Amino acid sequence: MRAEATPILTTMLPLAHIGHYLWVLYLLPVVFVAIGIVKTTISEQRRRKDD
Amino acid sequence: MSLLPFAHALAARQDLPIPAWLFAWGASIVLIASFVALAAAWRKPRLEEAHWRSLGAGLSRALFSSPVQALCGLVGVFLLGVAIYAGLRGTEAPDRNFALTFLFVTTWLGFPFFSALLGDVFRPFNPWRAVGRVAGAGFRAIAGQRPAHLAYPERLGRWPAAVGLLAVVWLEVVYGSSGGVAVGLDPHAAATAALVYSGYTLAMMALFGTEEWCERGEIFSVYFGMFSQLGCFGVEDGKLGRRRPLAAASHWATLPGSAAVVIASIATTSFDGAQEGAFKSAIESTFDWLVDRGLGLTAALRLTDTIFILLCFAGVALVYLLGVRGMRTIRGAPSLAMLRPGFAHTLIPIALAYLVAHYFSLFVFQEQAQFAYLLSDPLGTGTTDLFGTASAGVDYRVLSANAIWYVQVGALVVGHVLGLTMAHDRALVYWPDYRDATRSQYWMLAVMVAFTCFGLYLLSVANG
Repeated sequence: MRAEATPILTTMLPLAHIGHYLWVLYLLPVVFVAIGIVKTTISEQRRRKDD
Repeated sequence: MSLLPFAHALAARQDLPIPAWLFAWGASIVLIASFVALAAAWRKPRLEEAHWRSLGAGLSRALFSSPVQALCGLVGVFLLGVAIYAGLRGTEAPDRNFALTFLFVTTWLGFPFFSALLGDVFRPFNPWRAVGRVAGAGFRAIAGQRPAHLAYPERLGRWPAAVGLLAVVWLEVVYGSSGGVAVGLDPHAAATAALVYSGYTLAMMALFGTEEWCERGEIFSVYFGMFSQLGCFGVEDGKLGRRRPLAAASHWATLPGSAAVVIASIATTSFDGAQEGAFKSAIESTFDWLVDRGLGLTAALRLTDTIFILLCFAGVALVYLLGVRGMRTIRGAPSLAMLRPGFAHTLIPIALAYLVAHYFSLFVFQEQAQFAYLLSDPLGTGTTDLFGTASAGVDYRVLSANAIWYVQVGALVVGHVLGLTMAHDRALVYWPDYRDATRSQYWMLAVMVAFTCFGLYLLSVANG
């Protein structure tokens, strides 16, 4: 009684677990802000040294 | 069906116009915009002074008169007594017994909301304080002198309340989940715990004094009192007055352990929201691992949940400490020992936001039960109908899934913007140059964005 795997099913299957990685989308804003902070801090430190 | 009212993520499927994760991006943008606006327009501390103004001597005299205080205390003692009696003598079905809804929904969730709006409303109704005051007055009348109390150890601060807060939530969501249900806490166990806690609290009040213990160690006074610091109503020298919103909170965290109280609040709400969603697979894996090591099912479940609740506490504390540690890199920064408690009060609106976001729908649904069939039939035995509403039900249509989501997002965004504002204001105290103050808050911005995105992730998984 098992259904034959159609080409479309085999293509879609790897995406079936994509829901497990949705947390990455919630982490991205934090990563962007953290990168922004590090970049700003480094550039401010450089500017202070130059002054 | 009997467990439905206690399921926190009780909602039909949402039909949102955009994916849930985009709300996290939107909330982050709102926080960044607020940060920029604060940096540009808020250059002097405005929340260090509460600007308290009396609401009138007549109102204060009426509210704080002995008969009114005695009546409020009596109401508190009566309701606690009814809850304990219902728990001990009533049905074991959690949703039909007055005790659980009254203790864990009406009181535990209701007082934080109303305290933030109206001030410390729990204080006059605190049953243990009422009993402690009566006992103290009785002692004075008989012995002709004030009872001699021990000096409260300063270093202990609010740590007993922080540990107690973890214990209350542990009782509800860890001990109570041993039946493998959302809230399986037996009303009998809840009533027994209330009796044990009453004995412990009254003993501590006898040792250290009623007001002293309420200020530092009594879990409910400290917890609800913390939220009351956000509102614009407060009491000074026995008089009711109006003050600048958020300002009272700036001096709340001066006692040791205060940061632990607010961190415990965020951590326990996070754990409760995540245990059936984001942490589910990790909890199941740990549970299986412990069972494989020969632990019994109930012990393994409780140990797993205890580990995760402590991990949540450590995680929230770590994020906060990273934010504070980051501030140390700014020139002219005070010591870490000063910064650590110095920004703890900025987490109070976040703790409230987490509470609203996670329990708003539960509160709305369960209060219908509280004021309908639970009040009419507090024991849940089906034999009494005091107000003729014992057969009334809960209308789950009063809130749509989308409405719940928008309230959750709104609460988180507002809470974190308020937290950011309070942190910016405090930074202006430590760094008089507003540019340094703003730089120091880069790290707090990261903390706020992290808490917002984490909160929305937990909710999206729980709702999904």
